Amino acid sequence: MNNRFDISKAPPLRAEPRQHGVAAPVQSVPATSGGLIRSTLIAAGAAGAILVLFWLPAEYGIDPTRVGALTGLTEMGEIKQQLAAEAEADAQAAAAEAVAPPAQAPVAVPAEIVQRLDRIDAQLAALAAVIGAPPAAVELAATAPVETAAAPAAPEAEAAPTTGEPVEEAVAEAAAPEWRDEISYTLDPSEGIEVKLTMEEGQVARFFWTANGGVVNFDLHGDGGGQSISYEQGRAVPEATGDLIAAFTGNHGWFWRNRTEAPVTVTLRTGGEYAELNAT
Amino acid sequence: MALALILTAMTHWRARPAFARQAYAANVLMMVAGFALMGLQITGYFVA
Repeated sequence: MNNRFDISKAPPLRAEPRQHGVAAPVQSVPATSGGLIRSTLIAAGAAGAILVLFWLPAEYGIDPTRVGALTGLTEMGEIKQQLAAEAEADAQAAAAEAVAPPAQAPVAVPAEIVQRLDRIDAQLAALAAVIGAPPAAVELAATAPVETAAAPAAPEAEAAPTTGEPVEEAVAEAAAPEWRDEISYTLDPSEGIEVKLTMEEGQVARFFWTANGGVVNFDLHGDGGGQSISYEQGRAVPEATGDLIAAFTGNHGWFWRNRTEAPVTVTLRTGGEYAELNAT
Repeated sequence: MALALILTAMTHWRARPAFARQAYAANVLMMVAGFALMGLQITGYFVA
């Protein structure tokens, strides 16, 4: 930075750089008020340009000039916002589950869906009561038989039909014998859904889910008895298959969020050891 | 230690003939950074 051996810059016949101080004593910086105002305005203008052209796209996904889209900074900002929103949604979901069953009814939904949500709420309330009860009660309440599907067929079953309805939910017996439950849910842009399996510690459930040609963000996680765990997370994933091994007794399942511009239908098939499947 | 280093560097800088111009430019740069940070914070306030 301050190369005192730079011959080209050294004044002639002066060996010591300190001599500068003697020749030119520390001077004040000259500045006129007009110049200061002009400099301030230039600084503000430059700051505003940097802010609008680069910083806001990268930080918040705000891109009024479309420059951020060209440079890819808008995407960065959108991902940041998305991560923040997901963290908030997760925290809220966890809080809501701990206190009371969440009610996520959209503004205008068919009466059929509302009834379905009511039933799900009732189920959740029952579940919450069970979780809060002693372990003996948990076993009594887990009425659904835990069956071990032993069919050796491959988990990649045929893709479920994509329906055009905005909100369509169908818990039904899967056609293939190795799946016990199948659920399809159409997520509007930025909508999320949580599907949980009630499992005892150490139980193994097999699953396959697909976004039917779209992509979704997911968090495979579990909670119960004051514990929580995140098994796997992913962004923009078209489908996944595998085994879900319950780390502890509780609810283990998926949180999906559609971060694309178009509705995405998520189809989940599950089999193996679990008491029941609940969607919220 | 850090302050001693800064003092040394600043003394050398002030002794240079180009100090006035550079100091002015540095001030303007600091103002740019300040305005940008201010804008960011204000935007963050309105976004949240």
